[in-house]
Amino acid sequence: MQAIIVDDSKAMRAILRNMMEDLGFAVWEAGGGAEALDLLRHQGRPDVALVDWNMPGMSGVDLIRQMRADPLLEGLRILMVTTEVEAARVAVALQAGAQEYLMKPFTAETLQEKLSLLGLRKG
Amino acid sequence: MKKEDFPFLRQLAREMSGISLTEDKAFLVESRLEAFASREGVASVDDLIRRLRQEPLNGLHQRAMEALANHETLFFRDIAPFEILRRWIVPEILSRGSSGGRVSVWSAACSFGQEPYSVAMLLREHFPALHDSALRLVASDFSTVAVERAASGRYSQLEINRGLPAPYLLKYFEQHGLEWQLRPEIRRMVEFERLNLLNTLPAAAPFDIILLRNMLIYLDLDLRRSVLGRIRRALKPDGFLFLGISESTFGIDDGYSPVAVDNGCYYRLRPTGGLL
Repeated sequence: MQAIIVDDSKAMRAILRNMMEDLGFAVWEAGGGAEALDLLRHQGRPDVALVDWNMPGMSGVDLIRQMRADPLLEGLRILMVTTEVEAARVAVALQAGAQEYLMKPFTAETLQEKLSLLGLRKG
Repeated sequence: MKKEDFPFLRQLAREMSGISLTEDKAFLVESRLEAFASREGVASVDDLIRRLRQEPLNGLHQRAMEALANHETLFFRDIAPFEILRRWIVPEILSRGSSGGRVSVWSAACSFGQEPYSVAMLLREHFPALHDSALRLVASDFSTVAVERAASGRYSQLEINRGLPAPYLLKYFEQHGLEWQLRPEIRRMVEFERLNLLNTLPAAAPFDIILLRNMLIYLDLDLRRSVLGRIRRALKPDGFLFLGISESTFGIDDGYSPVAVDNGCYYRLRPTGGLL
């Protein structure tokens, strides 16, 4: 299984990469929305995208809207990673096309539980 | 903690909560009792154990044993049992003429309530007619603290992060600062009671469905047998029992037969069950 991690924080990308690789995923990284879209155009659709909410330039929500508008990415599962705790912002993420949210701070176990909700199991 | 105190605590835990304390848990036991002693205003674990030894059984013993319990849980834990309930079991019960369109569920050892509330949300979502007199959803735990917390329906952000599908968060919870509270229509679906299933069954027994998940693992073999025997009496003859992923009736009680379905498993009563 393949995953793309989109986060402007190198440290957060490294944390998520470790967790995802432990769960058996091959991981691609992008430091922002434009880089992510470029990577997806060349690499094709992964199984899941982990998208940070707060990024300079294109926000995570805008990136998700663009990914959902791309027919080549149909079926992509999207997990929004966020420090936001307001229900209204979770709602915005879901309306944009995310299927689940992951609130920071989180553990590898919590991440795995969220992936299970998306139908992705360790393998 | 003195070495000679551990057998005393082990015996106390077994009698009061059924929890089987093994020697390799000594460090964990001591650290949990340290935190408990501090909360109770007792100077040290040694002083606490001295009081537990000297005083007749009272609230302190109950609270100390509750402090040793593991309340680890999450919403929709393991997912498969909830999918099986939705796809197969609840429709089957409702299709029986004898059910009268009613379903009864017991979430035994419910900890902080994530399991019974997961059932409640699932039923509200997929079987909206199941409420009021059509549903009896009982949840119990031996810990007073756990039952009180569960009944409040309030959860931290960390707890909300675990297992709860995002659409359910938006639909069934209200935010209060950094905490989230289940809406009254879901809380009202669950009846909580403090109950030690080593010696008591809910007054509402027998049930169509019993969830007894991740509780047997803390008991020794004799108590597992005793609890499974008691559960047989709390389950309707055509009822359904769910255990935790790593638990089984195999080799303990042949009154049950396992049924594997989808990615999970449940147990049904054999017509003439009995102890091995």
